[in-house]
Amino acid sequence: MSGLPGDPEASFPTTVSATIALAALLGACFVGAASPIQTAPLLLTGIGLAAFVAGVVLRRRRFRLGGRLLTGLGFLLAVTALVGAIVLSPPIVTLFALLSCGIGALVATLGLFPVSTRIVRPLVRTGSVLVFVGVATIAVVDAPPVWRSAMAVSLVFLSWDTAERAITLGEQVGGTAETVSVELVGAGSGVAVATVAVVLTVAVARLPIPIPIPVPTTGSPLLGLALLLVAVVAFILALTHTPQRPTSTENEGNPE
Amino acid sequence: MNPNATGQKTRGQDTVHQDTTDQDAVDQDAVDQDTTDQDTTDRNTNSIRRTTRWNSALVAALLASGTGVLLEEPILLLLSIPAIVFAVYSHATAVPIPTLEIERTISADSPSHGEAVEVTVTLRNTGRQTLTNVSLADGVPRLLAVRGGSARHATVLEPGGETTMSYTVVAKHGIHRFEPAAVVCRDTSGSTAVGTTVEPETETVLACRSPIQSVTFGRLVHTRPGTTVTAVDGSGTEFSNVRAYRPGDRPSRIDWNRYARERELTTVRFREERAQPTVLCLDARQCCYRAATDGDPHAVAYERFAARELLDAAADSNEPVGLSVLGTGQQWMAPKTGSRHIATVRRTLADPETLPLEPPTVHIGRTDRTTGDEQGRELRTRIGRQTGVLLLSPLLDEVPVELARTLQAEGNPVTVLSPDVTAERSLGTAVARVRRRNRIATLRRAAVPVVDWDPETPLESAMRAGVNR
Repeated sequence: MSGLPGDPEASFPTTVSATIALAALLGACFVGAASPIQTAPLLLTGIGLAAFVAGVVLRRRRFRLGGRLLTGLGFLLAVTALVGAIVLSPPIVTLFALLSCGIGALVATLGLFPVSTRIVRPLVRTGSVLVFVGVATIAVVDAPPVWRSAMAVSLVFLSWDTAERAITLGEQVGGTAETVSVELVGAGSGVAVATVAVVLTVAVARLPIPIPIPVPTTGSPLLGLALLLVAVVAFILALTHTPQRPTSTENEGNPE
Repeated sequence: MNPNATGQKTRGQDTVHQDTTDQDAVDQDAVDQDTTDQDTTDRNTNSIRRTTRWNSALVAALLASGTGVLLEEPILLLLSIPAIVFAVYSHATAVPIPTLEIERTISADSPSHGEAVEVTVTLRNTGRQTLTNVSLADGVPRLLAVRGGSARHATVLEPGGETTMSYTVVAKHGIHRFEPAAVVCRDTSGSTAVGTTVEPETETVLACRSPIQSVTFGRLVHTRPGTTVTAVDGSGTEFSNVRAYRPGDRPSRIDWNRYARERELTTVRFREERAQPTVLCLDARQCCYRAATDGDPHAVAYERFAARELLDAAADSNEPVGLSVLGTGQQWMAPKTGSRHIATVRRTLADPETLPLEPPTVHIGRTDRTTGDEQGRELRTRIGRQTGVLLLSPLLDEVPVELARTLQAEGNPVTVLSPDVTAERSLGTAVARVRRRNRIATLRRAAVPVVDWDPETPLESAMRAGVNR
């Protein structure tokens, strides 16, 4: 058994983690954005999503009419901001990145603060992927400083991790149970890992990679770094799929 | 309400949880719904599941670096580093080892029906490892609804640390045993989940009883004069005949008036009274698993409770009692007396296979009606001619009505005890309530006494009202 039996009363994602996850995702969008033409629509979208979230929270607290009104207005504002960005007709790649981030944030918000709890996980996953793609596109096209792109990607992963925790806690103990300590500890460790990720990325970016002159035709430093990353990934994958055996240390302290 | 004032307090540790495969099948772990690969192993007391959700980070890293090489964009290679760091993080966290103790306190262990009972649960980490994500679901009895607070909790537990949660349940008729609490511990990254159950040292039982003291089976079932009187003369109270005195006859039975008048010793004989056998017949077909509202016990639970109380009353008055259960598989126990028989019947009533808490599955091609008709016929062939039948049924269809009328016509005294689980929430439920009332009226017209029991009232007062009707 690795799940709790039965279903809790209110199985929507827990509010604290969902809020942190959404904040991290919007933060990723803003940090990753390189120009005002991207930031302005995203800011409006963010405001709309904040109103949407406030409406959902109000609805859960029995303020149904005000909650519905705020939810509708917030959603409308977010969509209008994205449509407005299309009207401004920026370059197609910039527009693609902007829409990817904006739609991603919108979809993830619908997953984190759902009206129905059925398709929460696919929505959050889709939203995170879209924001990741958008941030990566901006990094390639507009070439912002490395630390900003690294921070944006790290925030996407932090958001996804926190969102998964919110969904899990919601499904297992419910939105009405006391869960704040677990959520804060989880988010705190996620922030620490994200910080390490940013520092490591910036450090690797500043590593002097000697480029032989002339560059050999058989390969390049880029390919070498890629192969190194692939090796690391393969190593982690191997670790993931190696069955863990119980050890005496693991059993220490168990009554029987 | 002070939980420690009158309530019982129980405390205990992890219990062995062996069959993880079955449990995993039942306990659908929502966390791991998205995982395609999982590694579940037993570690004596715990089951471990390693999720593969962090593989998504690895996939992102591979895609980013691959695209970077393809497009010759170093930034994409660099952006795969955060993904790898997060993937490594999932392996860097220690597998949690839950070593836990639990205490459970209830504010009242013998509450009355409808009374709110506060349950306080304290979970303590007796191990040496900090548990960063402990999710707990207390084993609330299935027939008790949580009305205030939540029986679930998630917290961080340091070594020696403890957490306390409390919630309120509304007591319902019956004896309710709390089950072990289910605990799932996750590491900080959420990549490994360890499930276990924690049980207090002593069982927590909430007994909401309604003992029957003033109504017997004789008054309840064998009410019609002339139908259950024995032909054997003996030492009862009803006059039978007078015969010549025989040595050994009790002096109190000698007709002293006649002796004074005629100087002849005669003995007055009375009709012997024998307790008549009664069969408790529980209607536990699928259609009887209905409740008035969500969270309320269903009719079969009320039937079981009433049967249990009636059984105790019969044991006190030494009346022969049998048992018959109409359901997916009929249960039959012939009427007898004796503590061993009573204990067997009591165990049968508590057996979840005989009277499951969840509705039984009806096999294809069979309906509740065919099941009820067949088992009713079988019951009629088994019971004796003058054996009384106390039929417990919510009267939600015609089968119990027909069975009661048939038994009555065949000479078996029948009384129906019907817990009312109908409501008027909607047009459909209102119609069901009217139809049930019509069935009660039909039974009463056929001279079958019916005890219409509203579960919100004590059982005994409903029975007294039914007897005096």
